[in-house]
Amino acid sequence: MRIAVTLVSVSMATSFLLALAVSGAEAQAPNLEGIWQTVNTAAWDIEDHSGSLGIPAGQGVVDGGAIPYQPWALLQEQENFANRATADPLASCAMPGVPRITYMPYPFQILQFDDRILILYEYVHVTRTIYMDGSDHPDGHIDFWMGDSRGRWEGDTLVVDVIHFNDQTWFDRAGNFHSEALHVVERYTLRGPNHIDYEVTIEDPNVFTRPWTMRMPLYRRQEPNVQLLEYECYAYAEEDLAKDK
Amino acid sequence: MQKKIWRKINRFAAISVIALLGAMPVGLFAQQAWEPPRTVDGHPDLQGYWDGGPVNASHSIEDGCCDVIHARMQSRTADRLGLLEPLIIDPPDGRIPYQEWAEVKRTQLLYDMETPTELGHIDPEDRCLLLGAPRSNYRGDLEIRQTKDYIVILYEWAHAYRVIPMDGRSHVAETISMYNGDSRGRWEGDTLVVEAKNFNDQVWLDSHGSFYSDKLRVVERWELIDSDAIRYEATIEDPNVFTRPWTLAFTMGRIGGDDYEFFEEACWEGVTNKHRLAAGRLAVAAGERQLHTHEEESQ
Repeated sequence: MRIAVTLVSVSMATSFLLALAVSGAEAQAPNLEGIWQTVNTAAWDIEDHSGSLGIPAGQGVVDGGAIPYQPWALLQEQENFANRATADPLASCAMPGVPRITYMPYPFQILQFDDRILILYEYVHVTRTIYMDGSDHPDGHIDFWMGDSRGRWEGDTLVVDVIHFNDQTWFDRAGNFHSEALHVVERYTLRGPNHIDYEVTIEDPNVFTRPWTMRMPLYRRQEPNVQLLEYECYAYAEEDLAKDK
Repeated sequence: MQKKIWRKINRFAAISVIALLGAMPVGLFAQQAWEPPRTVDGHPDLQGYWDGGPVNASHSIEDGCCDVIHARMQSRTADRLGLLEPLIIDPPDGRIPYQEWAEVKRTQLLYDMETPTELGHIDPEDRCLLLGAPRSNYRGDLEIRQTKDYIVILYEWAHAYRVIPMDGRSHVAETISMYNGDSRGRWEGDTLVVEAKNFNDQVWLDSHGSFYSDKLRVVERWELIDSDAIRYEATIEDPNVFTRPWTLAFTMGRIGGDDYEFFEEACWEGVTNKHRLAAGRLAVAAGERQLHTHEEESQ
């Protein structure tokens, strides 16, 4: 009898420990699934800026305030700014690159799987697959608009390493730019049920004097019926763009 | 392609065996019915990479494709120009049941596409538009991922995607129209049934001007018939354009190994239609109109 009771206790304890172990394993991967969106003005200008027609004023999202451009690159940025109405790649509805896609004023949906995380963006139906299987970036260089993303968990933070960019995308409407040597590291940390802390480090030895960092919250869209719709930029602009593109 | 043909031969063999076994006592074999792999939610696991519908279908769901030169570019012989088997299974003649006015418009589009003077004359695929359902499913390779609440289909072509809610929510309002439409899914037994509506009228079902209106409704049925094949059926209804609902069907096969990945397929970023429109306008001004045909095939 005593043996039987002991056996039951042992098996209960084992089940309890197993349950703990399982929930512990689950706890290692926070659930980032949902539809998210930024609420800021970084899409227009990631640095501090006053308001102007159609552009809301905003405080910068760059750590330390200014982007550490090399002297030639600062001049290029100023030229980009002057010509932004047509020179911005988004004026012809190209894919925005990373991280600009994150802070476009459109929602995006995160879906998590064992070996990958999908991010689907409403803006021009951009998709990213973040491979979580420990695989390396493919050999390159490859000119991708959205780069090649490989992710891993560092504690509760999703860390995504992105390379293989082309030099065609900007960081914002204000002409902030990079070369194809761009290396982006994104960090997604769930801060509460409805917020993600998004931090992104930018490295590009061709353009900047040192790596620099942007940070902003991502907000969960709360509407019970929220879903991604479509923003088919080039389809809407096609008639105009066919005149001179 | 060879793989696909083999699959079809295998399927034929399987059907023959099943037909033979049909004459024997059912109870003997009932327990051997094929059981699909399932997700943790108990539904068939459709996840992975698939090759979509047959080659040529996106050019014409009625005839297939193409001219001899294109076939040669794609390493296909002249006898591989059309569809291996009809895509449209209902009506039995394999043709789209257009209303009279729609047949006229479609024929006009077969002229216009040769000498486009406006964007609406150019195949939506050449304009990188989202191709909606069902066309996206026979335009190229696709990837299916399932969660408890969603089925996601990623298309390699033009990085298109569909998110299909499975939670029973209602469609978006009638006034919202989209290139890819608005999809809602449910399981009927082991078949994934997706109803799509809220389309706009900008997309064709193939490169042959097979147009529809914003009243289009599509019901898709996705069924895993063996571990490497999905039977796909789409019933298409549009009271503005067709005389009756009609159905196309095909089987798609699994592709890729463990480390298979889609690459980014930017489309619009490399496209210009300016020159095609300019050439089309010049041709029309010179009185040069011609019907899009595949007559080269018989040469």
